[in-house]
Amino acid sequence: MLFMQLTLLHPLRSKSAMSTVLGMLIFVGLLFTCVMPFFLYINKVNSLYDQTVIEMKQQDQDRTLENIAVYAYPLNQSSSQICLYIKNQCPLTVEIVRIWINNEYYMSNLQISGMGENTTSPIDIQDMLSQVEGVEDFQVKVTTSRGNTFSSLTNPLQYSNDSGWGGGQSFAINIVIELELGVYYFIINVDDSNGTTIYHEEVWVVLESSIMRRVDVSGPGTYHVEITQTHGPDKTWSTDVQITLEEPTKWVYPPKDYW
Amino acid sequence: MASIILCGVVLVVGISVWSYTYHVTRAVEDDYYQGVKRQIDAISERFIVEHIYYDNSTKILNVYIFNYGTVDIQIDVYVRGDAEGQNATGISVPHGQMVGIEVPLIANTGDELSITVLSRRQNVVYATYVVTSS
Repeated sequence: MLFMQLTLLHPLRSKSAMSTVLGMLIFVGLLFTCVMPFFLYINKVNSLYDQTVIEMKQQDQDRTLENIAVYAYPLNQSSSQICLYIKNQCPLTVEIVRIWINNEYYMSNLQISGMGENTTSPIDIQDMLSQVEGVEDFQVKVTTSRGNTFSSLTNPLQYSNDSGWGGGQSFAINIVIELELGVYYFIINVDDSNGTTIYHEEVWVVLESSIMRRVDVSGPGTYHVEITQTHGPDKTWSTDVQITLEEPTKWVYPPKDYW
Repeated sequence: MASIILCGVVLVVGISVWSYTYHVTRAVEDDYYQGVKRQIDAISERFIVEHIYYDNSTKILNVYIFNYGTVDIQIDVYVRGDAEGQNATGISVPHGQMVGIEVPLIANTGDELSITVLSRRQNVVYATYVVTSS
């Protein structure tokens, strides 16, 4: 400090020292305007790289965590429309970006919150059904925005010109209730041949055109399905379902106008 | 007089060095950033083979690539196995988009195909496909 005061405020005794001071000032200026910003910039760019690595790791981890159960179902035995009931089994919100039915795809922006469930709008596949000769299988899958694909657990759906929809490979009863828009409260009960309840669910349905539930059963046998609607006057619909080795999956469609 | 000349020389040389250093550091910074940016883009690439099907009537294998990463990509598709073919035209797939890529080849029902999708940033995704009757 004292040196600077002497240098700047008092005439220099040795004028040749002036060039040394100038050189020094230029060196210090160069250090502050070029070298230090350079290292700060490099550091910032490196941080950007590290941040990207962390973000991509997080994205990969989220992708691994994604887990949904997809159930594709026709609205009724002879319907040309297919809906997808999707249960999100992970804590992350999942966005469905595409629905594939065989080699055709349909864009979607359906979001399902963590551990939630949702049903897509009906997808009309009349064009595909009109080309069916005899019996044809339909494979359904969905793609999520995180880059996962999930096949429908009801694959393959089988369509026959004679008998309509059927299909499925595992022992299960697929219950599809087609509805007029409204508010419903359903109690769904499935008993085995011994009278033991193997499935019981109480579900509110608000402004949905259909609901679908898949009940996995242990094997061939007769099962009793009972559906009760208790919002308003009670209405109960029931049927017996025969599961066989030849036809392990049965589809149950209560009449739409029953409710 | 000599000291004034010396000061002038110091000033001229100093400012020249300063200017040169400034421009060199800017250029080095830009090069470094571009290099790191290339690496960032390479590690940000994410894509999958979303769907494959073979069209028997047109003899074309359709490979659908979904780019779910954060950067646009360019890809080439190579098919090996019971039938061989490729589409190495560097087709662009914008981020968040799916693009169908056609690979002309002659395959029969039951042929097993190995599909390699190579991005221009050298990331690779593999898939397999068994030709079904369509």
